Amino acid sequence: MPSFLLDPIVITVALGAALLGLTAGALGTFAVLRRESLIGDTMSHAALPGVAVGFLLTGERSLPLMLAGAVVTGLAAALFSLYLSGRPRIKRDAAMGTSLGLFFALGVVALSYAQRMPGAAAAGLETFLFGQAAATLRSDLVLLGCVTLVALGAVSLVWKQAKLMTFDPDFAVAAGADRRVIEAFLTAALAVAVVIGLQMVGVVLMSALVVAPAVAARQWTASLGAMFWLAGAIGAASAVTGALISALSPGLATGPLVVLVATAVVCVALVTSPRRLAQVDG
Amino acid sequence: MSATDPRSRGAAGRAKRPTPGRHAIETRGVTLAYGATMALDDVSLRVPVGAMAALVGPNGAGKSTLLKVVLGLLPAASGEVLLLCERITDARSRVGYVPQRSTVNWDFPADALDVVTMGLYRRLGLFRRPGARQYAAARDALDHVGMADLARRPIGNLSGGQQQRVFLARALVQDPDLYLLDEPLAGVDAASEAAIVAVLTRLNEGGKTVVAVHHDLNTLSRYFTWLALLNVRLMGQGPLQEVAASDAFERAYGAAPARGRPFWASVADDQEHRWEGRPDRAELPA
Repeated sequence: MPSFLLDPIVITVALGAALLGLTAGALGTFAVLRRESLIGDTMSHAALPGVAVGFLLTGERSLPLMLAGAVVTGLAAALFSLYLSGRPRIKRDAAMGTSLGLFFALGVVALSYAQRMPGAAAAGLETFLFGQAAATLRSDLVLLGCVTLVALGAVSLVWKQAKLMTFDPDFAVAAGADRRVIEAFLTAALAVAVVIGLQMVGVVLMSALVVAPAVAARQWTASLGAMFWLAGAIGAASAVTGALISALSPGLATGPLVVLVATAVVCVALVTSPRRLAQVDG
Repeated sequence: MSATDPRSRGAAGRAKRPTPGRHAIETRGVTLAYGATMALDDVSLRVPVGAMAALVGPNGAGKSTLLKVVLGLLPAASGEVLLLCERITDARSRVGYVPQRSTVNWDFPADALDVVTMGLYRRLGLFRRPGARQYAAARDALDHVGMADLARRPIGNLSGGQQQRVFLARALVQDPDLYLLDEPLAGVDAASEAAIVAVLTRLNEGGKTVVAVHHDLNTLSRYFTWLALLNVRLMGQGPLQEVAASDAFERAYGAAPARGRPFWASVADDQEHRWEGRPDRAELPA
C-alpha cells in the first residue's frame, strides 16, 4: 500500500469525499427521475450568497453556519424560480436560468466583499467556487456523517411515498398522499444533496455530482432501490477518486476532477448498459 | 345466478338495475376555469351505484378534468363532490383510480409487479414495506389482467396495452367499490382492450361501479350501459339508450349534418346487439 494512503489528511479527505458522494449520488436518484436536474444546478449556484453570508455573520470559518446559509439561499432560489414560472409567458427553464444568474451574481458580489474581511483567506472562501478537498477538516467529518445518516435514513423511512409520488403523483394523491409535504421533503433532500458537497466540489459543478451517478446507475438497473444505492456507490467512488487526485496535486481544484470521473462512469454505463443490449435483442 | 353461466350473461341477466337513490358519484354544480377558459360549467353528475358508466364528450370537453375534480386532484372553483355518499377524503380507500397512461414516466425503474404493489401502499401505512402477502396479492391481480408471466418485466419494456393492464391491476389490488378510469382503452392493442373490458365487465357484474372516460363511440354501446355526455357543461346523463335517443349527442358534439346520419347515430342501434360483440372471459390471454 502506498504510504500516502495512511496520511491522516488523506484519510480525512477520502472519508469526507465518500460520505458526500454517497449522499449526493443516492439522493440524486429522485432529482433525476423527477426531472429536476436543473433545479439542482440552480440551488447549487444559489448556495454561494448563503455561504458568504454565513461567513460574514461570524467572521470565521464555521461550516455548519455556512452550509445552513447555503440551504437557505438555495431553497430561496428554487422558490423564486417557481414563482417566476407561475407568471404568464415565463417557461420553467427561463425561470430557473434567471434565478440561477441572479443568486450566483449576488453570491459573487457577497464573496468579493467577504474576501476583504480579515480571516477570509483562512476560511477558504474562494474554494467554495470550484471545491478544495484538502480544505476538509477532521471536524467536518462529523457534520458530513450526521447529514448522511439523517438524509438517507429519512428517505428510507418514507421510501414508498417518495417512490409513488415520483412515479405517479396523481395516483399518489388519489390514494391520500399529501403532494406538497412529499414534494417539499424531496426538494429538501435535493438541497441537502447539493449543499453537502459545496466545500469539496464547489457551487459551480456540484449539481453534476448529484445528476451523473443517477444517470449512470439507471443504465445498469431497472429497480429503484438498486438505482438508489448504485448511484450512491458511483457518487462515492467518483468523489473519492477526484478528491485524492486533487489532494495529492496542490493547486488542482477538486470539483472538476470529481465531475470528470463521474462523467467517465456515465460514458462507460451508456456503452455497457444491459438495457441497450436488450433493446437490440428486441 | 352464477357469473360463469353463459346463459346468465344475456341482457336479461344483466338487467339488474343500478341501485336507485344511491350515487357512486354525485357532483353538485361543479365549476372550474383555466384562466379565462371555462373547463367545467355547473356540472351536476349523478352516477348510480352499480353502473357501468362511460363519460363521453369531444376533445377538450373536460372529461379528465371532471375525473380529477371528483378525485380531489383539482380543486373546483365552486360546487360539491360526494363519492359513495362520502367526502373524497373519507372515501379514498373505496375508490380505485386508473390514470391516463400518458401522465406518468414509463422510463421509471420498476417492473410490473412493483407498480401493482403501489396499489397497496395506502393500506400499508406510512412506514411498512410490502412483503410476501402484498406481492402475492399483486401477482394475483396481474393474473386477472392476463399479465402474470410479465410480472418481472421492466415497465418501460411493456407495450401500451400491457402498461394499461398493469394500471388496471394496480386498481384491482385495492379492491375498491368504485373504479374511475381515464381513457383506459386509448391506444391499446385489441388483446389488451378485450382483457380490460372483460375485467371491467366482471367487476360490474360483481356489483362494482365502473366509470370510464371513453372516446370511441363505435364501442360505446357494447361496453357500457350508462352514459354521461359532457362538453364543458353536462349535456345528458342516464341509461345509455335514453341518452342516445335524446338530443344530447347533438348538443355535445354540435349540430347534426344536413344530410346522412350523424356519426353518433349508431350508438342507439348498437344497443340491441351489445352482447354479441362483447369479449368473453374465454378470450382472455392466458
